[in-house]
Amino acid sequence: MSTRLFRARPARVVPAVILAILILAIAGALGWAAIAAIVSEGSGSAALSSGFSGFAALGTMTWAAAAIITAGAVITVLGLIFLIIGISPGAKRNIGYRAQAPEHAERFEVVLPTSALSNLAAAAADSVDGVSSVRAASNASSTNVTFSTPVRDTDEIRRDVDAAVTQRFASIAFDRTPTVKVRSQRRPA
Amino acid sequence: MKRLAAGANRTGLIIVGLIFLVAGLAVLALSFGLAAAVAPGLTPDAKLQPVAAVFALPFSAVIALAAALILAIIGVRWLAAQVPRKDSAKPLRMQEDARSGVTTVTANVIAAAVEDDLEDTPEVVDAQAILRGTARRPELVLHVDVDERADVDAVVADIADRVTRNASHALGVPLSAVGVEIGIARSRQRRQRSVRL
Repeated sequence: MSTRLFRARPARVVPAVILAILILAIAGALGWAAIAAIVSEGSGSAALSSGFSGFAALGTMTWAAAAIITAGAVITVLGLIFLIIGISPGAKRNIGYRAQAPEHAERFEVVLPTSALSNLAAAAADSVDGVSSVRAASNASSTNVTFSTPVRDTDEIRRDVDAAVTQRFASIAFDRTPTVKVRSQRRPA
Repeated sequence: MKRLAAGANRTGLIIVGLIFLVAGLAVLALSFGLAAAVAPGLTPDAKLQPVAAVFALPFSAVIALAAALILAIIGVRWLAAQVPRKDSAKPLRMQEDARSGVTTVTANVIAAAVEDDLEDTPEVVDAQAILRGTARRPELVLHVDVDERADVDAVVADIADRVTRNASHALGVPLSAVGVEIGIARSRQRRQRSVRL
């Protein structure tokens, strides 16, 4: 078995939930129109158009009508978005870690999610004197740290924050140590 | 570390995306008169009467109701598939010979013991474990939240040396795979780390 134990790419749960709800909404609308038609006709052989007058209005439109062009454009764009979301692999969420398999395990895999990387960087930056608050955002290969400080001259603190975060990352046996980028934001005390 | 329906989601998105894309492009082609070359009657100023006539056919309401039901089933099943699954191992059969008695252990019991063992590691704040696979080829998937100042390498070494050995001894076989996901627990407030004098 060579599949990885942790999924590195997003599972596209949110778009799938949105699409599933959209399918349910279409099903609901279609079902409602069908039941309305059957009830109004009172027989199983009812035509769908007898329950909802919109279908007759549709028949009087031309293909060049603005509503039809808009609907076509919206459906095309939605289809393109769903297709791209389905095919594109998405950003990696896990950072590999060098770990030797112990003797009583055939495979040993250790990963840190990007959120863990951000928290590590934020904690390291938070320990530097002069920093009042920290935000950190990471992808699989780099971390952006933004700190705010009431101090006017931020260069020295920025160097200290960079050193603290770089040193923290260097102390961990990553497959590839993430790069660190530090920005400062002056906040009046 | 729980499993999500990634494959189903991507397949579904691609299929629906393709259907929408083809349908949308077909409507646009008709609207801009590009289809007139293929089908001479379908000019942009043609009416949508042939489309509306489909909905006026007898029994179309019953067919629409059936289609709505099928769509509803697809939608509900797809939504239900989004619930993350633990996929724990089925109860492990530990006996050598079933004729002399049966010994079964549920995966959750082993997982709970491994979680307790993990929390003995210094600097581990919280731990979750899932046992997958079979009694002969067990797989352990772990998530540990360690303190933000913890020595991550020391935590990993402790899991590799002590926790996996204990689990492997308890099960009586080497583990076929061990996966560890490390989270960092932030101390919420600086106040929690400070002392007021």
